[in-house]
Amino acid sequence: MQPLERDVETLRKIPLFAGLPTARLKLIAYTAEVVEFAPGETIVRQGDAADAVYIVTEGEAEVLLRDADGHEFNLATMGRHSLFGETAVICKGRRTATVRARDRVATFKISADVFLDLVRQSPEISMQVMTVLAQRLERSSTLLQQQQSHS
Amino acid sequence: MERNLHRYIVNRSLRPQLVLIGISFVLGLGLNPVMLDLQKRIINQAIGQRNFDALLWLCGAFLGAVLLNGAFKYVKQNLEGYISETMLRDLRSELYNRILRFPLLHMRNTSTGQLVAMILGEVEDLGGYFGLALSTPAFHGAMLIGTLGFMVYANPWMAAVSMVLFPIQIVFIRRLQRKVSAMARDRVRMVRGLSDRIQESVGGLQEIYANDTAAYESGRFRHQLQRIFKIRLSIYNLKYLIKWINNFLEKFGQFLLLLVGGWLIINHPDTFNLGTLVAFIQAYGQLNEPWRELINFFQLKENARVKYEQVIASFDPPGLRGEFPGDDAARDRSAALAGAYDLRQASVVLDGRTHALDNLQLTIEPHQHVALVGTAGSGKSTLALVLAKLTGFTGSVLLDGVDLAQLPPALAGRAIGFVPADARLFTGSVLDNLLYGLRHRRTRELTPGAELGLTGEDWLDLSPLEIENRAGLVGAALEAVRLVGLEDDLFAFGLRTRVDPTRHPDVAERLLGTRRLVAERFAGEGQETAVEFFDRDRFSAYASIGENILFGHSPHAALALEQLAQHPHFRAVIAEVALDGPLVELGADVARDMVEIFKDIAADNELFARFSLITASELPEYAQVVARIGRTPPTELGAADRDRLIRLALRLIPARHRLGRIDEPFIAKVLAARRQFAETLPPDLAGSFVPYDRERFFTDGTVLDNLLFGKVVATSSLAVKKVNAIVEEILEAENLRGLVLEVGLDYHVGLFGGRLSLPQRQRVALARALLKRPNILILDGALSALEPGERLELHRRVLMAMKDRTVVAAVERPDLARLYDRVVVLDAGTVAETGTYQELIVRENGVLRRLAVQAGVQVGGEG
Repeated sequence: MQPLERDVETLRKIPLFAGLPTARLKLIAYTAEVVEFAPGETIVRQGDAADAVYIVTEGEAEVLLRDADGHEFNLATMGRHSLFGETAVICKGRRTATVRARDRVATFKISADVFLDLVRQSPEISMQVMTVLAQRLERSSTLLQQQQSHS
Repeated sequence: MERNLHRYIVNRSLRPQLVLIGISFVLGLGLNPVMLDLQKRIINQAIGQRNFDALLWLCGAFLGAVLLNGAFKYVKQNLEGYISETMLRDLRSELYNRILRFPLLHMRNTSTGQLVAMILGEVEDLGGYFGLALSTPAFHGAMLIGTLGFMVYANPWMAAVSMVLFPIQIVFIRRLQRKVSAMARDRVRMVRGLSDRIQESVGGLQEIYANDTAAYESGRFRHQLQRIFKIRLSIYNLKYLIKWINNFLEKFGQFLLLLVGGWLIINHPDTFNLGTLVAFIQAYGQLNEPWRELINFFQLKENARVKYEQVIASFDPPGLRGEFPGDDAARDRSAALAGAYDLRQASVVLDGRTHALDNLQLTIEPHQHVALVGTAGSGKSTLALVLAKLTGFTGSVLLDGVDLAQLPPALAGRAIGFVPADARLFTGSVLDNLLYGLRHRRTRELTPGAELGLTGEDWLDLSPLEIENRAGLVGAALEAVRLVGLEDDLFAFGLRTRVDPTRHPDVAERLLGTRRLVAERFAGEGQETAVEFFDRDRFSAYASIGENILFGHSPHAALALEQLAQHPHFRAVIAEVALDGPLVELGADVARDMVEIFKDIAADNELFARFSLITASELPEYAQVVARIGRTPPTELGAADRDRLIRLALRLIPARHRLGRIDEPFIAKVLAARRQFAETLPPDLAGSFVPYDRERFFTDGTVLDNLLFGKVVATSSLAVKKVNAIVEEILEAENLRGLVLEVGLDYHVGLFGGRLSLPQRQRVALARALLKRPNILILDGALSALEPGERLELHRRVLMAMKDRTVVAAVERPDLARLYDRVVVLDAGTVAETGTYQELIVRENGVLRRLAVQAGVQVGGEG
């Protein structure tokens, strides 16, 4: 199997891309860069400009949030086949959290314009992205409610 | 432009056409009857009276006439060609110039395809006609008259007999011909209807399936074809009827001549003789040729006339902008435009219905910075277009008290900078694009181009920049780049750009000096893995297959990577180490993937320029090769196909593209080819090909390749970061950053700027507008692709740079308006409210306040 075919198979395992035709997956895989991160290396930094979306293909990365006082706390862990960074890319905003490699992490780095082009041209992907974002919003609201009821 | 084809022809080419007519008359009225007369004399005087001397003289004269005739015809045909070609060239250039004067709104409902087809295709037929328009009727008319004249002179009665049939022919044939023309027009109309049907069916395939109307559509199409078929058949019938009538009348004329002439010779030998009869039969035959030609010409003329009128009509839209003068060295830009606008009852109506601007009243003070705020459809973009004099309007718009409609477009184009969200870049370097706003007219005496290291630059007017040398130019360009926040990108471009040492001789020298420092740093920090240094015995996955085999550089164009596949020495080497088969196979794998991935991507999509190994124009070619691979194994394809596949394989960078199978045996062969190539160099390459050498600059590598003498291990984030940091640090320390930026100005942006991202394109477009030092700057969502914080910062910088000059910005977010002296809020094509941001944002029930709340902007006040 040539490397690109392997990458296409990897992409297929990601829910967001599962329903896409092979040619489209090949385009994503082909235009994506393979980037590896050393243990402890920062993949994206909170507050930086967003230029790409990442997919973890190997290893684990942790999502860290820094509050107003500068305290960092762990929000989630990203394992194999998880996608991150799309929020900031879609909003053309800054990174909302820091993602750091826990061990050696291999990723596909999809440049922001390619990803946006994809969202624009494929209704399935737009829908999937909306679902993911909505779920996150719901989770944050619940979290907020819980915090308010605690205080 | 003339609406009438023949007036156009007469106006544009009267003099050569008159020469042509002169030649035609000489041929038809002079040489033609002379030759007929000589024939008659040869038979009657020389042969009839058995006078050999006379025979020689007359035959000699005849031969001379034939030669002269040929010479005149040769001149005539060349002149016709000359007229055709010059007029075709001028017509195309004139039509293109008309496109450059089209009102912008017109372009929205014009198909580019049609314009291309007309300028390149339809006009081609006209070209052929231009040369013939006057000469053909003149020549054949003269032939006809000359021959008739000879006949009258030889025997008036017989001449009358020959002409008896002409009126019949004229009446008959003209009538039939008209019928044919009418049917031909019908046919063209119906064929156009056919193309509409096809287009509609393709677009509406879904509806056809959903309604099960395929059979209906097929029947409808067939019905239309049937009607066209009938017309075509009738045209055939008529055409051949005309031909039959012509042929019959021609033979019938001969019959009459033989009958009457024979009777005359037998009964009145004193009035008519055999020589005259032979010359008559000859002359009669000759009458028919011009006659036929004239009839054909009539048809040709009609076609050309209709075509010309159709083309001209498409290039004459209402509201065509004024003509632009050609060369003009005068610097007619006005330094004194203060940029005060006064709009009264200004309206813009789109598609005859929608009021984009509706009786708008607005005054803009000189040097004011004004933000236009409104929702989509509020008219803010249309207002920006009006202020930039880019769209027509009704009502009154005054700029500095002068009617904007009367302002010369040339002045507007120089004094007003306009940057829309989707500003186009043109193919060329970053610098070419930055300077685009300074190319108005040819300015020969101002030409600083050559000294500035720019090519073909007599179109550049650098006077607004007030600079004298290349350093000044680069300085001004970099200043604009810095202002729009493109400097880091430009630095990255510079690292990825090849340096032409003939243009930047010092760059090569200074980069080479730095190479050692870079190597030491990497050695010192023990980070060799971040860079794959060039090594004669190692394959580099981060270099292309072509670079891997060549492993060296040469100024020889034949050894450029794109040409390499055809080079005989290269071909011999890969054949010898048995790499040719594997390369073809690899190329086939790559071609298959490229065609699959890119077949549905539009040619102007930036994905092509940024990622594809084959260009959009090569795609059809490779799609065919891929189709052939389906039937034949790649290595058994024809030589041309194998060449294509090898060329493609050489472009592959294994680690980056991740296509094809690159295994150990393949790598071993690549390394063998590399050694073989350098060791068996033919004499013509021996002097110029240089294998990679740590001590030498190589011209085919980028700045970064040269600095590193190797390739970055691009798949490791840490490696990339380290390399970038070290390279930047060393370049900074060695004072080379400016040099890399300067090289970055040469970075090629690709078709429509496709190699740049949208934010980068928007920044270049803004820098381009600033660099022309406009008196008035008009923005319309100019930086919309940027991240909000940065957008705000850039607006601030632009306003600073445009201090004391007018800026009007249609902004996409209400909070950007904060930076402006004054805010104009538009709604439904009129001004809803105006004032300072602070005033409007706290106004209860104010429109700006509502828009700001909707956009999630902090508005203060009650909250």
